Amino acid sequence: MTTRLEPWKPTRRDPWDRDAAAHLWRRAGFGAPASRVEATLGRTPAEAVDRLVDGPARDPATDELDALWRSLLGLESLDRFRAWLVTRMARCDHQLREKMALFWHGHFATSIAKVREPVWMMRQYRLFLRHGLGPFGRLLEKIARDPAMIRWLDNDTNRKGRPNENFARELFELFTLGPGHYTEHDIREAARAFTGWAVLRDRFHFSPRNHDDGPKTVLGRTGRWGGEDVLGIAIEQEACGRFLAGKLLRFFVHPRPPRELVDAFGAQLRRRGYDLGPALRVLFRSEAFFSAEARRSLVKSPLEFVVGSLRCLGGRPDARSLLPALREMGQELLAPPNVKGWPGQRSWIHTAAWLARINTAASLAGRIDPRVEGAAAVRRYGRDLLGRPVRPEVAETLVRSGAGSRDLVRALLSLPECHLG
Amino acid sequence: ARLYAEDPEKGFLPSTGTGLSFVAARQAFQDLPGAPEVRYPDFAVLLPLRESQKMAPGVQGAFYTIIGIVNAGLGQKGQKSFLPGSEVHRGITLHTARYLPPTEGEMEGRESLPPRFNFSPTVAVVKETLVVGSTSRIVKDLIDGSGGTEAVPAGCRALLQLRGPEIRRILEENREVLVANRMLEAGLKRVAAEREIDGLLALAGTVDGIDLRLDEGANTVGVTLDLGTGGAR
Repeated sequence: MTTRLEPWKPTRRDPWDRDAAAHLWRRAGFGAPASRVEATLGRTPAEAVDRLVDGPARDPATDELDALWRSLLGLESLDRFRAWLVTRMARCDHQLREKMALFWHGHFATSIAKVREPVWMMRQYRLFLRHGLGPFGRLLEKIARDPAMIRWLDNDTNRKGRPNENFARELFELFTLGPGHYTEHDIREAARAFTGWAVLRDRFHFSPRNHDDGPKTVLGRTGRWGGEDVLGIAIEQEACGRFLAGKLLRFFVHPRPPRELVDAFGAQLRRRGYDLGPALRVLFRSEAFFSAEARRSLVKSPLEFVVGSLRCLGGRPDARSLLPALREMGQELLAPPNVKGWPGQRSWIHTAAWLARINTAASLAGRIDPRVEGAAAVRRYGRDLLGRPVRPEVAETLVRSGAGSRDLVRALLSLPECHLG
Repeated sequence: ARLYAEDPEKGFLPSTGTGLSFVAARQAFQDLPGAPEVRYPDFAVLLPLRESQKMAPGVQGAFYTIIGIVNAGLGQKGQKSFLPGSEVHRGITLHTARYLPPTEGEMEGRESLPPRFNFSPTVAVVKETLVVGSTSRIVKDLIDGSGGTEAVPAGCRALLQLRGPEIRRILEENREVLVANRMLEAGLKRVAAEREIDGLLALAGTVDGIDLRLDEGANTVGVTLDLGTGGAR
């Protein structure tokens, strides 16, 4: 696989075509119907990337869904909030914002099962929507103070003289550096820096009385560090750039990105102060992103499969009715399986989950216009769902079956290539 | 709304009389600093007692025990719990359970109270009747004699009364919630969801009231449906 981050230059052998545009939509968003993909071809790849990274100047769908926020807070209903998130993914035009929020939700994995406060979980996810494309340092500071995160990693019991190391450990292992780039001593010292960070009356509260303000040595730096200082020290490490780069590349580009690409993208992240928007702009414009090895190399998560299919097939996103299916497929929003989030890739495909995908395919297929039949249905929906024509032998088999259009779409949704993003 | 049912043979419990009433009314939330986003109606169950004086202490004990058990369950789930208490209204003791006011952190970014403030369970023994209410306000209103406790005609074994204007007001107060629900459940855009809900409100507005009665005589059973629409019955 190419490790080059230089801007991709389309050629006759490697053109800017429907397949490339559909690939961009699937990765930087949740996919798009053929009409949107066609419209994207009217721009250069760089312009198309800019549009996805920056989002539209105005998006009525976002405005309409944002207006529901107060009602959602008032209702305190997790399933309605989940439905709101899925509806955003399906309808909002700033697709990358929604996709990055989902990425951060898996990165800073926090579950309602322990937090038990629906409003706290909703506010945490909203941080990802608001700050997901901005500087990582700012998001990290907000998450460290987030009540849901504090409860999730027990930092509300982290006190002077009785430190609780959970948050400090996951900060280094899962949020910033990755295994092997810190010691147990670093964890103990960092935990002391976060003493007194708690929740009081549903808000972040710093208790000087419970805070250990003595000198600490963290990652080779000594001082009377507080929590904010430790966050800054962690981000300064070269390992942070590589760690984040690796996670972003595995989410957006390839399940096993080459070491050179990880290093190169990590350097880009550090050079840009971990500002995600500009860094992702470089990534999505790059040769590595548009390489043949990158295309269709990622297994779609349940959300990517369901939302992507909804976007491609059209019809109303009746999100709340899709929540049980997402749960069965293994991706329940606000309830990741553990602190590491969802492992993704092959872990999405096991017997029970695959059965759930096939059953959901039937439900999704029910949304299409049944008047488009036979070969026309295979052509149209195949192109919408796969981003390119269905393989001739598969198309012939489907057409010869004489199945109705909804059964044809269900069959298309059951093709393995429909589950590769 | 009111639902009345009678078991003329035995009564519903050994210590109770033969008629049971269920009353519901729109909540005005005048006792609270605001209102929840979703506004449930108040409701109460009225049960005649055979020996109300003897039963009163037992009712008190049972109520606080149940609240204690509920609080234990809420605490296990990390949810806010009730504060038991009592007050006197027109010489009658009300046994209450209320939530403490929400914290500033909880109210950040929101104008409406959390949904739990729809409930402040209350019980009282009012003359020969046990009143169990979802809020202390409805129990006080029933003590004050407003609505739902009119005598039932002789021979009436079951009665259902629905008042259209009240139902419409409850729906109107919850319009935003209903619209949001349709947007999220059916994937409708706001305009379409509003059209649906406004249609429902218009339909509710055409019904003044519904009375459904079951009467039992010596050798007869009668069912009467009284439907009032647009001023006509």
